[in-house]
Amino acid sequence: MARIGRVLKLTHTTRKASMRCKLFAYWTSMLVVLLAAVLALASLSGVFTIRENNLRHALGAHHASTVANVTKQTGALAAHAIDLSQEASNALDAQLLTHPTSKLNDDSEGIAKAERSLFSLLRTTLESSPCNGAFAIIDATVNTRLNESEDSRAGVYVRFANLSVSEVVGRDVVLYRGIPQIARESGLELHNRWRMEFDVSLMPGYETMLLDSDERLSGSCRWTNRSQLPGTWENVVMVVAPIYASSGTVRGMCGLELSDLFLKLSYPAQSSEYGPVMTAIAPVSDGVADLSKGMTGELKSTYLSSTDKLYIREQSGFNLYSTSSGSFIGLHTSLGLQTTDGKDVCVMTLIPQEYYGSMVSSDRMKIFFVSLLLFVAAFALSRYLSRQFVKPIADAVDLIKTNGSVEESLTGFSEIDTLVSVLDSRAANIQPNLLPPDVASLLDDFSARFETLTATERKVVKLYAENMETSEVAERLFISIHTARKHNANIYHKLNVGSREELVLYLELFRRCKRLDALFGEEDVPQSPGA
Amino acid sequence: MKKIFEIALALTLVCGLSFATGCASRHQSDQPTTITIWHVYGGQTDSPLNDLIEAFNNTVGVEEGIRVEVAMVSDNKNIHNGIVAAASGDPGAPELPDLFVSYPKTVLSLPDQNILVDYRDYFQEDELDAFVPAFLEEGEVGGRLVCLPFAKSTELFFVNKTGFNRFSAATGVTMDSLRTWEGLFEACCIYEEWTDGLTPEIENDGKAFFAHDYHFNYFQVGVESLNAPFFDGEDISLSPTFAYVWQPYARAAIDGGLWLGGGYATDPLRTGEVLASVGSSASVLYYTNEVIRDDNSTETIEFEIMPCPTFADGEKMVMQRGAGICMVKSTPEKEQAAIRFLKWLIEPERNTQFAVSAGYMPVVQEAYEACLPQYVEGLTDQKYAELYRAYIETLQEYTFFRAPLTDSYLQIEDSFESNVRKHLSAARNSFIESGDQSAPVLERHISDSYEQFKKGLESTLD
Repeated sequence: MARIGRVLKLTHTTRKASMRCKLFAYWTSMLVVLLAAVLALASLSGVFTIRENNLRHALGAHHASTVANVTKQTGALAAHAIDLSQEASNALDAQLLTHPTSKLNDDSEGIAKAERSLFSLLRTTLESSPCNGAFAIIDATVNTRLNESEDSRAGVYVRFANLSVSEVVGRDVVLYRGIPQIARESGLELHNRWRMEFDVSLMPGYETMLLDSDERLSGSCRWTNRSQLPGTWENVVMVVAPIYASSGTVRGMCGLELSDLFLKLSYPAQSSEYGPVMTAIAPVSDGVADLSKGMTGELKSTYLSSTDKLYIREQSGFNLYSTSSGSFIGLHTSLGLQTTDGKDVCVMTLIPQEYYGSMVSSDRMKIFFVSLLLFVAAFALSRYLSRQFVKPIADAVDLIKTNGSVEESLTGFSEIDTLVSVLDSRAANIQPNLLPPDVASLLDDFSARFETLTATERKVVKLYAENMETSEVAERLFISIHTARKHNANIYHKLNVGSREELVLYLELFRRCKRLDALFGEEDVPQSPGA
Repeated sequence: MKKIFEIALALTLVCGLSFATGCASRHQSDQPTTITIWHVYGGQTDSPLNDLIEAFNNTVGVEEGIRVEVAMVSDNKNIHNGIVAAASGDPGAPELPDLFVSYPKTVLSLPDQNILVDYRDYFQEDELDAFVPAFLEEGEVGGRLVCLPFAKSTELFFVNKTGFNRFSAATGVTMDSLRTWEGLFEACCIYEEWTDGLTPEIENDGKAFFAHDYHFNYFQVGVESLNAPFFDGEDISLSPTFAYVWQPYARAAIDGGLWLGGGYATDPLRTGEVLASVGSSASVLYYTNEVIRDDNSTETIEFEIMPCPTFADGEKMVMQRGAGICMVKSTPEKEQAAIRFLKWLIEPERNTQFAVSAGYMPVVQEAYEACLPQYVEGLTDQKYAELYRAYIETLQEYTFFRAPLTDSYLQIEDSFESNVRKHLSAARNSFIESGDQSAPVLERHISDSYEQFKKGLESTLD
């Protein structure tokens, strides 16, 4: 078998690798490596994360601005509430002196006088504060005989009737709570759901305020959760403060109101390339922001509802906020407000994730297809360059084949012409029929062994060289098949071959090397099998 | 082989480019189209339209990617001012909403009426035929349908029946006598005298019996019902008929039986300061079934609601009210979304449901035939049942008056209202201060107030 392999190897030494294929492989490898280097460089320099970086910067800047605005507004409102509380304390002290507030119970004239003085304070505060309602509750009722008197307290509540961002001054004010005479005297309308007194069971934080004993008024100022204003469709949050008597007891509570409509007008959704940027202010605890207890700015192009809960997953750069109506990316910052339930209130800047997600997917698809196109282009370029490079060589070969002489076969490419000249000069020095040394040795060995054959055995081998079968050999030589086989065995032994196929292979090699005639003698050269 | 390679390359290029550009433009389409609306339905109370909008957002809106956002719930005057300011680009004015509720008079005040969509571009003829023709006609301005009727109202007469029964028992004034202006104004004077007499220790503390939401409408419809024109071109015709209409009104006001305070008539009715009022049927939302007295005690009351009073010798005529919905031109997507919402809103069943919950009448004909009777029959709130009984009586017996479409209508209305209140209040104060409440003195104050009113009106309108 090893010998067959050796013979086969020798017969296949004429098959050569194409220069064009090799060049194509070189070019492709080089361009692909170059492309990979470019992509790696782009990746390292942040080209593929440019969208994320831009979003982080834009979101950060927007959030910082919103936090500054909200902090300024909540700070101003708390300051106005504290100021209102002090003014209300002074007004009630001036009227009641050192008497307790309960002295006003069942005293309609006293309550009317107190409400009138509070009304002027509230109206001034309302028109000078970034809010849409102001109120003051006195811990007394005009009629203690009524069943509902336990939760009924006198006071004044004024609100803007029509909210619009355009009307900073001259907005209509309505009386939501208080004696109607105040409205008549001031030319105000009563709110559609006006009542004379407050139902303090519906006023968040009232009970807490009455028990308050903080020495510093600013320490007693609290923010309430969102609640629905009784009888209306509006939701509000309030900043409330106790009204202290000079003795230190609490005479009631005052505060300022922010309605959801006011917040929507104050914080409209901003358009950005990543979609609408929205603002929400809500208590956050255990990684959940509860919008039903907070407020939102304008909600645009989103299914987010003001009653949703946002489940926060904090990440580097920006956070993920999930709700039943979709996911958002954004940032949140604690406002450090004091709330009636002690929860931490945060301001959030939110962008629908769908917008950003689809932009990122789009970017990835673009990068993928551009890379694919570049690879295909590199492949095509390699193919073209390798063809162009090999073309003059192929042309020169064709030229030599056609013309036959070196002088007529010059291509104009010095290296090719030199190669042709060198090959031509070598060809001139090469002896005809000179075989490679290993082949020559193989054939010589075989020839030497061939000499040991008898005349009949030589005839048999000669017939095998004519591609005859054993039976045909027997018939031609007028011998039995048994005798022919015996000759075969002797031949194989003497020639050192294992089978008839190996013997035929040797004979074919002799034929190709034009030494078959030498083996059998010139006059006995067998015909080629295919001839 | 070469050809196959080239085809594959070209295909890769085309697919790659189209896919990449497709991805870039796709990300906007998954988000809802938000349309904003300013409306008047509900004012400061719970709004039935807000409830419908929420229902739309949670059903059709989710399915079709539309979100309707209520940006303002206010009154017609405020919406008028906001729209005109926004359309004129006034400094600090808000952005125009996509939809707003208004009367055609607001459209006339716009610097360019072409900012509004002509609904004929979006509604087929058969869809428009579904509306009550008179309502549709009302929404036309300059040959374009710009105010789509949504709900119509009229003026009705509301009486605190519980309080009136006490008054009637003491004085013999009957509910039926209030069906004419003459009878109503006489009752006003009797009531003022009766209430003044209840506290003899306090002088001139008689109460008003009646408040009218729009003094202007009383005069306008009153004069027209007596077959005289209220307008002379773009001016008010101060004809003898006008003076005739002035007389009983001024008498009741100067005598103290007519409410001259500002605001809507629901205010003094809620505090028990008056017993009766004329106002829009839609104001039923703002009436509460209780009166709050000075001592904070409350009295649960029942309402008697009747058609608007008329002059004994006049035609039974009443003001047609109810604004329409206008749509501001924007992008085709937003306009289509807004139209989808409006068509959903005026489906007969839904139109009736809204109308009945807010004191209006539906605007599509099928609603009157197929839905309204059963909705009215199913009303359990006494106030609403009364309202629709009076409404149906008005539909059967009255002629509806529509305010003319003139550029200066709003200015005239404002000026008229303030002059009536101002001069009748001055006359009332002068009458009390005179200390003489005899008939000749009252008559002199009535004629003086008329002269003062005429002068005041002319000076403000010049």
